[in-house]
Amino acid sequence: MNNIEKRINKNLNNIKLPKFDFNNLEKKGFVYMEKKRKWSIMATISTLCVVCLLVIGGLYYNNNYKVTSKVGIDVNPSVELKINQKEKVLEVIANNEDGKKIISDMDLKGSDINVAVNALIGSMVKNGYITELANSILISVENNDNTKAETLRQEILNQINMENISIISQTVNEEQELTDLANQYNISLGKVKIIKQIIANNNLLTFDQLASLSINELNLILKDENTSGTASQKAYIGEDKAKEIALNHANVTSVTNYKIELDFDDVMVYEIEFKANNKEYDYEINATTGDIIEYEIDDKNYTNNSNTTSKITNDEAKKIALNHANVTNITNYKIELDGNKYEIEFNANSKEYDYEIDATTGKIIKYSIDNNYKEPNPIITKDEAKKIALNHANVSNIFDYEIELDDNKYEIEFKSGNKEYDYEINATTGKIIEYEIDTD
Amino acid sequence: MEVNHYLERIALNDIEAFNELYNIINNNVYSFALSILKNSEDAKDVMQEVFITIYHNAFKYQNQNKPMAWILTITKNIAYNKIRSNKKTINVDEIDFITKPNHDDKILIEYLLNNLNDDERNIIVLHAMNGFKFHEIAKILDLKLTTTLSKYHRAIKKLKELTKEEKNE
Repeated sequence: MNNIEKRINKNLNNIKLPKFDFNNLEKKGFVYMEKKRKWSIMATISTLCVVCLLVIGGLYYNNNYKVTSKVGIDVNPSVELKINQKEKVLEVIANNEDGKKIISDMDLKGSDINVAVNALIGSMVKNGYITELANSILISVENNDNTKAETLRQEILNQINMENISIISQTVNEEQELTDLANQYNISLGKVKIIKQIIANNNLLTFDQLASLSINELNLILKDENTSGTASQKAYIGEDKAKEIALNHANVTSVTNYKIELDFDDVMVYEIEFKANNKEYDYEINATTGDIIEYEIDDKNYTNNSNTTSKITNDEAKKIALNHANVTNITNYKIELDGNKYEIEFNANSKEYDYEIDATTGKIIKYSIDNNYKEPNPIITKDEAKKIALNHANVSNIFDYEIELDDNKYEIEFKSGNKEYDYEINATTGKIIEYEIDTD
Repeated sequence: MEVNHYLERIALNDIEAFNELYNIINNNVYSFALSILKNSEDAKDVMQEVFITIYHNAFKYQNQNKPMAWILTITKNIAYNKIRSNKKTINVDEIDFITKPNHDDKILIEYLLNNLNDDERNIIVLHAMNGFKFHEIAKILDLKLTTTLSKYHRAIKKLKELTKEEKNE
């Protein structure tokens, strides 16, 4: 850390911050356990007030008709049960068409929550929504009192008597943010919470991608240790088959440091890595079709001796890469000398190729091939994109202008006066995705 | 700072552990929120929400050994949802310091908050406050590693130049 950062650190740590506001937490259903002695007087008073209100309120409400908890069941059918204090069902709501099919003419009103949950799950099995290919269920319990929600969650979980299924269970609170997302994507609060959890673990994934996935897929991606049972992978080719495909492709038989994981990258994929012959292999294999989506081979024998002055030329490096890839017609070609190696990128046959080539020996150090490459389909031309950016910036005299098409986005950089402009423009719609103006 | 250890205890509803963790890392969370929002009060609100989220989700965070990256990603997500105004500048006097910073330091913070662009400021704050590696910062901010590095160097250069100017005046 340099001196400036040390000063920044010192000053930002010198900012006075309030004590944590536990009253704030309580509103959101925070539960104190066993530590009652430690409550501040204010917290005690405010809790007493809440208790008083609850007691008075309780006198007015008939225990039998007041909804105290909600239980959501998601498979693809999505059903919500509203229950009273005695855990009897007051109302059954279908959140989607499949949910309606599941409920059909069952009358669950007045029945015990555990009976109702088992009846609904039974109906999902009977109607082919829970199968050996997709056996995951999401149970979400909502109660303003988190302790009660947690107790009810465990009780329901214990009472489900079904084998070979995998249950994700959770408690949820009706927070504004979750409710907004649930409405926006037309999915249940419980599913929103699971997706948010997946994104918290892996922030490369987006809500858009995940919202349309099934509970079984989400369960497989989530890999939560608290889930009961194992999510079925039977809809996929399986880890053994995936391993066979990768090893065959790499043409090796004995490998070390082998790792395999089912994951999500636009589709469900097996991510495989292993070492053999002092090379590192990475494969991404479509878990449904067994197609190799992307692979990378990294030669660990390479040692960087940048002292040598005799280097192969750009053109020679290009030839080596193209020969290896066995292609001639390429687009988006880029080459760069980084230390003692050439980094080469190009597209051909709807694939994306990346090579690293030793600049002294011409040896391929590392290469990766992405079969999933989609040729960008820009409707907006470079000139049009430039115009959009310049209009927006409201400048005409510019210098150091650069434009690049990447991922169906134009990345534009230019300077004008003492300002530096950066734009990202959608190549299909011409919409400005992001811009930045910087004073030099 | 054994943040992992605290999260384990918080997962068991240990309110003391929660309070201790809050006291240890609240400036880290607040600073990042302030860097994103440029508003002291909003940053305090975000900080509250972040800790509520930590409390409710600590049990799901099992030994992934990057607890601060996890916490600051939560901070980013909550802060991004809160961005209301396109406020261009923040007055450093809005910020409540424990001991009054000296003139140079005040200017430095002023420059940091008002003269760097969003990415530059976030990178510097994450680096200075948490000692993260650049690839970790890149992951939190969803930037390429090369972009993160070049922006970091540009930002440091700017801060150096600005503080130099200050001395010459």
